[in-house]
Amino acid sequence: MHWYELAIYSVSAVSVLTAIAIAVLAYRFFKQ
Amino acid sequence: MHLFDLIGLAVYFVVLILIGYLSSRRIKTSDDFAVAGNRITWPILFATLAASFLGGGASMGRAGKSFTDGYVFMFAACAFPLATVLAGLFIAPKLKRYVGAHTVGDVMAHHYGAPSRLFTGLFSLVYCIGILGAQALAIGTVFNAILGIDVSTGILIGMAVVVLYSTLGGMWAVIQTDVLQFLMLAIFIPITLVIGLQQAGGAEALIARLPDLHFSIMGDYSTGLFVSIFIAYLLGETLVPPYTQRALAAPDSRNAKIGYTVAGLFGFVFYFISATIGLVALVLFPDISPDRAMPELIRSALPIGLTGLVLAALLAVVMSTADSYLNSSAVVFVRDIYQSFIDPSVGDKQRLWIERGVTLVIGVGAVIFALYATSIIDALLLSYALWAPTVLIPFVLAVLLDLNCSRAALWAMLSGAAMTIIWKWGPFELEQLTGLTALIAGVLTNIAIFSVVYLGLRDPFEPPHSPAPTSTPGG
Repeated sequence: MHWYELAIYSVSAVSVLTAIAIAVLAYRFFKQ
Repeated sequence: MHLFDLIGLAVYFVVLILIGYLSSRRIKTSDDFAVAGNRITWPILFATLAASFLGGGASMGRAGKSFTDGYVFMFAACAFPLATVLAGLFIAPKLKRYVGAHTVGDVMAHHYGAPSRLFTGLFSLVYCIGILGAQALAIGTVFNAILGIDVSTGILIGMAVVVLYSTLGGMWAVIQTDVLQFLMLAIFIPITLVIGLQQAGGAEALIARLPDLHFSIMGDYSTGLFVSIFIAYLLGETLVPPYTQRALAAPDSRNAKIGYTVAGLFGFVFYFISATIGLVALVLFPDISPDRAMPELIRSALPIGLTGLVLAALLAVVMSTADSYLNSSAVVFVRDIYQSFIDPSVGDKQRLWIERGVTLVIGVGAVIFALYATSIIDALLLSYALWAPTVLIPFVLAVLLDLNCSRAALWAMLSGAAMTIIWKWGPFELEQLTGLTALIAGVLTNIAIFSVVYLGLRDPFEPPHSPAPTSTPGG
């Protein structure tokens, strides 16, 4: 895989995984 | 647009209004309305702050700029997330010393007295309403670009939803909808990029089909232009009222620091995604207008079902910025102007209802400006150039160095504003003559006047102007 492609996929994955982590933490926060 | 996409969009709007209605039941005091009762922990602070500062400029604007100029603009604009990280590390934790503070004006009043609060309050208000009007226009533009309905109808639909949940639920509704909107933009905008990249033939095709300059750090910008943009983004929007209000809404310094810093780091991620979408759009649709780079990719490249969700994500980008500025406008008006100078004895319940009323009035006013008087929004947006040369420097110095000098702050703010106005709109075209932007000239003037007055004219025994801040856990 080309380094540029790897960079695009990695950054996109960071964004999506951050959203998932925040979704879990936010769910616990608003549930309290 | 397919019916399935429209239903998805309608469901999203209903959820936003429902959040506003449910939040209204937990709003009992002005503290709840303004700073969510000081209870938002770092993940929530991070999501609401990121959703607030990632607006139309960071998405469609950044994609449009990379469409025309390449990555260079993104590299220069990365000064903003950098400034946010620095503010998170050094300013946000210290803001929790100001117990009971809701606004930038509260902090300024503590160090510099009532005149500085009034100036900060008025300036914050004009700034917030200007950005709100611009976001209202952006909401209409997104509707127009993707659904094809006219801009006015788009503004009315989108802003009706924003005004409704913001008025009902205040900061609680704003942070909950912001979290939802953050999830939408952080998931679906990267998915758009990945699908678009596949259609463009992958990253290697992008490199092969676009000019080398589109991938270089400096592009075809001169060093002077790059530095000017970098400084404008470093200072222009740093610690503006809605962002500071979020740090003040954290329960302690630790949460303020982590939430603010991580939001800044996420800014780099989102800027790269938006800018790369611009490059993908350039390969797929080379003849479109740059402003349409992101909406066109969403409209043309995505499968049925996903289009509605990504449109909702794009609307989330602008709506979450609009709701933050709307809430801040109301809080600033009530806190820094009404309560401080018109009716200091106003009770908490009454203050809450005034905040709700002002939210409604300002929201409706912004819609009217966006529909019938865009020149008023243009005029209000001029205040964007004035934030750093006026309030930012005395604010940062006060928080970092604990300075108390009302004369220095007032003179610095007034001279910074005067210099920026003369530099930018005066008869001498000083920007072209000197190569220095008005923002840099204003900031340098502000720093110089503040230093001279502070060192030469300050009263060494001047006390703080409001009760001393106290430490909070984690501070």
